[in-house]
Amino acid sequence: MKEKISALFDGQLDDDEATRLFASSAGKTALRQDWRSYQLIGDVLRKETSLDADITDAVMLRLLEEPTVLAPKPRRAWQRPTLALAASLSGVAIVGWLAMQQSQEAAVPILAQNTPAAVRTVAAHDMQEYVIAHQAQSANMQFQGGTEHIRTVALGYGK
Amino acid sequence: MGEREADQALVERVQAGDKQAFGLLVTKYQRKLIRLVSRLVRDPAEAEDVAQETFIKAYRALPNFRGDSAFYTWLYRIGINTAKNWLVANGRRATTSSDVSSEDAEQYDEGELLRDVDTPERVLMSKQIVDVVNAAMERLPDDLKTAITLREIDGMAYEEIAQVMDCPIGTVRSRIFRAREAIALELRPLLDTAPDTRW
Repeated sequence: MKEKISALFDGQLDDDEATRLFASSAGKTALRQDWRSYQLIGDVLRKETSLDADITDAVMLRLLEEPTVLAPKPRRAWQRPTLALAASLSGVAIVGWLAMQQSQEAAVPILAQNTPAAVRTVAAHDMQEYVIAHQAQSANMQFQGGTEHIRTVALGYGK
Repeated sequence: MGEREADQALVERVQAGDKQAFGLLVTKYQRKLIRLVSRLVRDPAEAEDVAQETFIKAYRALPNFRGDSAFYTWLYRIGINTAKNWLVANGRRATTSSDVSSEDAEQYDEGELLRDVDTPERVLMSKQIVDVVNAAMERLPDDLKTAITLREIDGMAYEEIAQVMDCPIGTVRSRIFRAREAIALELRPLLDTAPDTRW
C-alpha cells in the first residue's frame, strides 16, 4: 500500500488503483501520514523553507463546517478537440451514409422491379390525360406567387 | 502523468465529494502558498492565517475550476487576492515592491523570503528536519539516492528516470518508494504523527 501512495504522490498511479486506495480505511490513515512525510522530504531536498509549517489539520477542521462540493466532472483540455473531431467525423459519416443510400435507391428502378406490366401500361396511357386534368385543377387553386415556376410537362410516350 | 495532471486527478476527486483529496492538495502546496502570501503579509502567523483562508476560498470555488490553468496557478491567484484583501481589512496595503502575480509566483527566490520573519523556534525545528533528512539521504544506497534525487530535485518523470538509470519503470517506482520510506522512518519521531480522524 505504501508503494502505491508513493506512486500516487508522483502522479504515477492509475485511476483504478487510486480509487481503491482512497476507498480503503487503512489507506486513508496511511495516505495522510505518508503523503505528509513524502512532501516534507521533497521540500527539504529542494531546500525550501518553513518546513515546520503545517496548516493541513487546521484547514481540514474548518472544512468540516463547509458543505461538500460536488461538481460535474470537467473535460480535460486535451479531450475537447478530440471530442470535436469525433463529432465532426460522425457527422460526415452519417451524411455520407445517407447520400450512399439515396444514390443506391436511385440506381434501382423500383417501379420496373415491383410494378406489374398491366399496371404500367394503364399508367402510361392515362398519364397525359392525368397531367392535363392536373393542370386544369391547379389553375383554380389561387396560388399566391410562384405560379410562374409551375410548368406542365407533356409525357412523350410511344416514341 | 505530469504534475498538472496529477493535481487535476485530485481536484476531480474533490469535485466528486472527496474532502480527503483536498487535504492532500493542502499538504502539497501549503508551504509554497505561505511563502507566497508572506511577500505581502509579513507576519508569519498572519501569513498562515491568510493561507488557511486561501484554501477555504479555493475549496468553495472548486466547483467552478475547470482545469483551464494549473491548479497551483489558480490557487496562487486566490492567495494573492486574499492577502491583499487581508491587508485592506487591517488598514494596510501592499507596497509596490512586494506585489506579486500568480504568473511570477513560481519564479521568485523563495529561500530569501522568510529569513527575516521566522521565529527562533521555527528555525530550530526546520534545521532539525533538514539535518535528519540529509543524514538519511547520505546513508541511502546509490541507486535509491539517485532515483529520489532525479525525481524530487530534477523533477523527472518515472519514464525519464528509467532511461537515465537504464532500468524498468517498476524498478524506478520501487527505488523511489524505498528511498522515501528509509528517510521517513527517521523523520517520523520528529513529526507529530498522532492519529487524526478529522480527514
